[in-house]
Amino acid sequence: MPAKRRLAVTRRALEDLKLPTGRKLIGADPETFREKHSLIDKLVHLRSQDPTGQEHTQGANGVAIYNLHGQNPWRGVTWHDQEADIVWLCAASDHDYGLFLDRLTNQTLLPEAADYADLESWDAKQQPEFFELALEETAELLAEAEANPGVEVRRVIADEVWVGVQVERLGGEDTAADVYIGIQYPRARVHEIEGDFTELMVLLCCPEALDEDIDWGGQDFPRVGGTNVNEVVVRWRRP
Amino acid sequence: MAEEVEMTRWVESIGQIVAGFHSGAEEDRDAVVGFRDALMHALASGVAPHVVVGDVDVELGESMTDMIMTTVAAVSAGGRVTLVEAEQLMSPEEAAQAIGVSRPTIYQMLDDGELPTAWVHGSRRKIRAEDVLAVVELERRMERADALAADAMQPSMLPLGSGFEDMREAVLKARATGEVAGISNVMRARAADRVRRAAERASAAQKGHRPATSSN
Repeated sequence: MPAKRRLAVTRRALEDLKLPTGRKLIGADPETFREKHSLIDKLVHLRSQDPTGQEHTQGANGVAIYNLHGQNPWRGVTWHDQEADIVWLCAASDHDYGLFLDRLTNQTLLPEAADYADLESWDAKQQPEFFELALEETAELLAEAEANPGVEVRRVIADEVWVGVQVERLGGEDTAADVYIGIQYPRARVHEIEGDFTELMVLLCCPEALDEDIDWGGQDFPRVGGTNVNEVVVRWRRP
Repeated sequence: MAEEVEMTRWVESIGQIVAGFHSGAEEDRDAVVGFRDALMHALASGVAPHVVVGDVDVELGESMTDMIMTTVAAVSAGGRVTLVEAEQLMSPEEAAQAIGVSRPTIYQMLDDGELPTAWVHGSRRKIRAEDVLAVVELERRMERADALAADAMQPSMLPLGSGFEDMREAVLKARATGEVAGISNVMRARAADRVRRAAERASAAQKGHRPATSSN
């Protein structure tokens, strides 16, 4: 499933921008505060479509930092973390390109662990409530699916994720069955964390499942019309 | 009728909570957890929750249910609950107490615009409770992020406790006890691992850079 590109602003860039409520914005999706600064607005407008840009500064080992023009005199530089597909606004200044070069030289330009941790912390804000709700609701989902073999039982779990479960019995009174779990993420935040959530949702639905009995992807959900868009389908071959 | 009696008892507990009470008494905690479970059961069954107070039977609307669920969830998790209206104004002293900083720090935050001033009269200033709570939440989030970054910088701790079997064990425990802390720990270990890998990626990209500039 294609992940949604994420935009982010480093703590240092927020300080550069001298946003009056800068600390409130740490780790936040720039879309939610684009009106606070022309450079943030440009970041959202341009980099959500194209993770790079035209003017760039090329590092010796291939790292490329792209210039971003805000309302005069504001300029910034962005870096695309390709592996995580995150475009970072790393620094901003009032047309002082020397600042960017100094930080490149001092190796203080690109995001640090704390910046990445801010994103994780932002994502994790609602997790305990999500886990508690998911724990209860998936148990009910599986119980209903077990009671209705061959029929998909589908619900929104914890107000966030569509989960469909279908139990296909493999024979007579035996417990052997193929349990299909379709997990569909309608939410906007679809990042690296999604893999963890898929695993968690599968285990919440089937806590007895062993890793070797699970097919983690590639099969079609056995409903009319098959697998939905943005849906991950997992099959547990229950012995 | 027995259920109604039980509900009445829970509602009395909720009344105490809404008044801002915080008690370590086990029976109070049990009552709150029981009320939360009854509410969740009603909601999961698609039944509108009712409470009975004396002879009066009240159906809880969506917003009231949300408010009570938030309150009981916080209290059953051992938290302290104080209800304040978002529009309520707080003095710098009260804000300092809520955020856990000194009064001069609050004045500095007001001067820097980090906390908006809602009311000024001479040298006296007041702050909206909503803005104070936003700072409290931010401080918590930053503490979490800093702790996560610190975890990430200790590779020897990782990826212990973050594999499939760890998640499975945490889920089985949660199923048995209703306690999700184990799941949170596994997710946190994985998050720390992602942070560490990402930080290493950024650091590697940055090292060895020579600032040769070009434009196209």
